Amino acid sequence: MTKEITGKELKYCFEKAAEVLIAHREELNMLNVFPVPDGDTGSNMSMAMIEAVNRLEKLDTDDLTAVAGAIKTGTLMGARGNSGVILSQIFHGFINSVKNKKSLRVKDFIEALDEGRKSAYRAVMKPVEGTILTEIRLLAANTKKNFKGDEDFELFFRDAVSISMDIVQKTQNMLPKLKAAGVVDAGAKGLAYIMKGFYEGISGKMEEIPIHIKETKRKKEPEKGIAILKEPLKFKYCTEIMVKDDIKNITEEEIRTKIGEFGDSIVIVKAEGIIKVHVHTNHPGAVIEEGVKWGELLKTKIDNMAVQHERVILTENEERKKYGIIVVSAGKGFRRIFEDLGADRVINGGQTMNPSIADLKEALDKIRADTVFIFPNNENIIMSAEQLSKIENSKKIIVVPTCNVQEGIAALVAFDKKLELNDLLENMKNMYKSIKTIAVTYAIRDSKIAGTSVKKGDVVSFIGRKFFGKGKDINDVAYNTVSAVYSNNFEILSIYYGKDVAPDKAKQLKKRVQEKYPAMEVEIYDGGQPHYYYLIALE
Amino acid sequence: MIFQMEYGQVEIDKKAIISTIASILLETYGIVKMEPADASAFLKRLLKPDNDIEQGIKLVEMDDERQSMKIELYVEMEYGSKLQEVAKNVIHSVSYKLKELLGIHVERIDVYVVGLRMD
Repeated sequence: MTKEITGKELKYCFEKAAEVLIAHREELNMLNVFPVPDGDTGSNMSMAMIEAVNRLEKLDTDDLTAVAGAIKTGTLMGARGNSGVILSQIFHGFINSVKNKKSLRVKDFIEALDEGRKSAYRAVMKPVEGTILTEIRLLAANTKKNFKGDEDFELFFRDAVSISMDIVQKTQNMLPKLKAAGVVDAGAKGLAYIMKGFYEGISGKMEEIPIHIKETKRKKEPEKGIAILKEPLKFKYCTEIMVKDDIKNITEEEIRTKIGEFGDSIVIVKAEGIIKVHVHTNHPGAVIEEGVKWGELLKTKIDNMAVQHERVILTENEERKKYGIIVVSAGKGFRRIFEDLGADRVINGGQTMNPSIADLKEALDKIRADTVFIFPNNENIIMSAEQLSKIENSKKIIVVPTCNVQEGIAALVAFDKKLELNDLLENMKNMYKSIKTIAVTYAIRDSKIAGTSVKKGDVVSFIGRKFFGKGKDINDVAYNTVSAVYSNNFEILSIYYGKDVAPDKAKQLKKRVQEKYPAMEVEIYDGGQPHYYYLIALE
Repeated sequence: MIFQMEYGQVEIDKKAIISTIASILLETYGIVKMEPADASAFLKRLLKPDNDIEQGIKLVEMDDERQSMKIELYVEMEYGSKLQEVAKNVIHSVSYKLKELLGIHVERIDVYVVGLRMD
């Protein structure tokens, strides 16, 4: 019987909540379709919780005011993405309501939930229902209705979890986007898991509360603190399959029952003729076999979670470097070239396929270095990289604003890790600013560029970003463009040919340029890039 | 913004783009108000005080050739929320939805936080 909770219990419950949320991170990521389907709700909410737990761990007192302060600052500082910001806003209101108290009764907790609701609703002009906002609103209203205020906390949280999960189910019908994708709202479910963590924290039980969402039973005494990674894994493989839903009309319930035989943490999304299944299992093969029965397999992904776990430890033990390098480029050839030049991570991307900040962040997290240089090699990606550098505080990030791969290569050639930072940057800048770059590509539609009308399929060339000319033969166009740029100052000409160009064709171009300008050193490389026939650099 | 099609062209007017952005901002979490983007928006507000979301949206540059544009947003946020993160979400959400709804590629969005609500 717990009628009162103090700072000590609040801290413990919050840590438990973080643990439960993190355990369901992947599942929430899968559910994320609103407002932008970028699959990061679980991660974003977890980051806000983790930052707060870090601060709680550093406290040397269990005083309620101190615990409240750590939660408030932590969730604010750790907030990432939309759901993270809303979550921090909820805790902001919640904590302001409890921070001056010595202990809390159920009445205070309900009032704090309502303050959380007010704070969350205040920060948006038109609140969208069917989201985490609805969750906190109805949770506050229903608990207020069901409790007088001096009941047992265990009972209270038990009811709060039931209410939360009910609301989660309802979100699907409130927001058309969710309904179309056949999912519930990820943020709302995240908040429900947080309430579940509070219940587990106060009751010391991990029993299944009667809720409408099926989960595997786990019987285990709660441990103190975050111990997710240390737990032995019941199911080893995180398996995801995507199936074209065209052979027979299998219902979601049938899929769930079938997949339920293989493991837990099941998420099923059925939308627009595609079935997506996520499950933790020991038999990924069986899951795939099952998928084949429903329709054509589009995609499969199997991760060994045990290895992921080991890798986390491994990278922690790896020696920390002074500088790390991330490069964005497209094409196998360029990947090899950049790796030879010392890049730690090469992210696939470029024109028309910009990597997300999350991709950059993932690469960043895998590098053990104090300072990480990012070479975006594309104007659009510079912005993402700079945004990452602003929000990331685990490492120092320096974005070298290279606009194309040729500049990226030039900058990396000048990369000398023995130099001090300022000299290094200066060197790289001088190098990549001094080169001239040429791109030879094709027009994707009829249009007018800089006064010249271009037909679809025409070969066109650019010097830097400026349109130069057009033609029919790629070698003619490349040759003419080089001639226009050439001056005595240039000593080296590098030609990177794309995946649609035969090596022999590139060799002919090399021969032609070399004959015309014997003083220049001409080299050809297999860049393997899409879209561009040739990417050329003059140094 | 003009889109060339096989048998003609589609033009999406500036006004339509601005009201689309306004409807996106209305539901974007963390923004509590828009502020006038420039002197003319400020004057307009004096004449028509209810037009208060669109006043803070400025299309700086439209490039028909590349079907892209640059946008400036003048916003007021809630004191105590994480401003950078809200701004990042705004940029993300507006660029994603403009692409999805209108097929327009946004090259750059600058968010100016010109006010904080403190109450």
